[in-house]
Amino acid sequence: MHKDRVYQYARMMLRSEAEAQDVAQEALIRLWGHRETVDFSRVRAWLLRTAKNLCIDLIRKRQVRAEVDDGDAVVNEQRAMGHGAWQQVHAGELGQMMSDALSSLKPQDRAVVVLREIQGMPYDEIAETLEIPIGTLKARLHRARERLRTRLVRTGVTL
Amino acid sequence: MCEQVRAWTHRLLDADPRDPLSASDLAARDRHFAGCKPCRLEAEEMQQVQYQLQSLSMDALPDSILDSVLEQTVRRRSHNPFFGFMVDWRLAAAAVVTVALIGFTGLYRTEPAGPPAAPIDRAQVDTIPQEDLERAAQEARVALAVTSRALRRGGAAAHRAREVIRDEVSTALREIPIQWPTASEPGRQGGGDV
Repeated sequence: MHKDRVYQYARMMLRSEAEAQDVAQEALIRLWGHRETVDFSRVRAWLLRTAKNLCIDLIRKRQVRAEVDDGDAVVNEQRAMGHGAWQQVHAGELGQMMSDALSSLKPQDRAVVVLREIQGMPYDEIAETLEIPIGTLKARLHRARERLRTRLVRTGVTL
Repeated sequence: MCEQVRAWTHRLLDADPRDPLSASDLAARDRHFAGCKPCRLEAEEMQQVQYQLQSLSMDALPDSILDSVLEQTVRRRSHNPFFGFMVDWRLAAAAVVTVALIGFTGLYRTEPAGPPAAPIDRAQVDTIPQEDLERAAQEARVALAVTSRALRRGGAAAHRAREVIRDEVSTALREIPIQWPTASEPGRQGGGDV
């Protein structure tokens, strides 16, 4: 279901259940608002692109908040994310470590990993969603894979 | 050589049908692995990373969020009956407007109705996407509700309009293959895969 994909994408990008729900809700409401112009054969990409832009807005707001508060973006992000609740979803030690490793990726790399490796979307649809060329998409994917592997190996995970 | 092998490994994991790894590249990769343990280990670990990512479960959006969306979209619109007239849902919507117009003019007409409307072209109806028809059905319910209220206020004139709707408009609407939404969940019709 597209709504679940949008929710999962937002959840992994924002690492906050409440904010992910807000993003999914807003994306669906916007879809209703644009129902006359949206090409429904490509509605999944449309929804995910909308969610992506909403997530970017939220992440920027967090960064501004972090600068205003104490300059420690990471601490503030973790406060906002309800990190423990998010990790519990992916039960199991390895799943939790994978979640941690995913969190360590840059948002643009994480987006590619979520859409390709976790959701299994085709490359052209991901490129349309993220508004990037397929070459860039693959470069990000390769970089993310190597970072995930390095991080997991460094934390002692036996793959 | 190790860099080349890493690129091949990524291409394998990419599984992009437009960019497959050739048999000769695969063979060269295997030959390299036979003599380079670090590369082989790295490729295996990369494969495991991909497997673990693919094993992560999909989270379901809570029903309460979907309800909230419906409340702010479909249901909000159906609370405002006049909004229903603002959207043209092609043939079925045209039928709805016809119903409303006939209902309205019927309040003030005493002379016999004109000739019956032309029959609906079924071939044209068949080309309309089911989704549009379902949305039109929602519009129809709202418009018919408004018409019904108008008719109740219309006294004797309304009686004549009811006859028109019963004998002519209802017959015409039955020609349109619409699945009418249930009364309990009006907003869930037409949701498709969304």
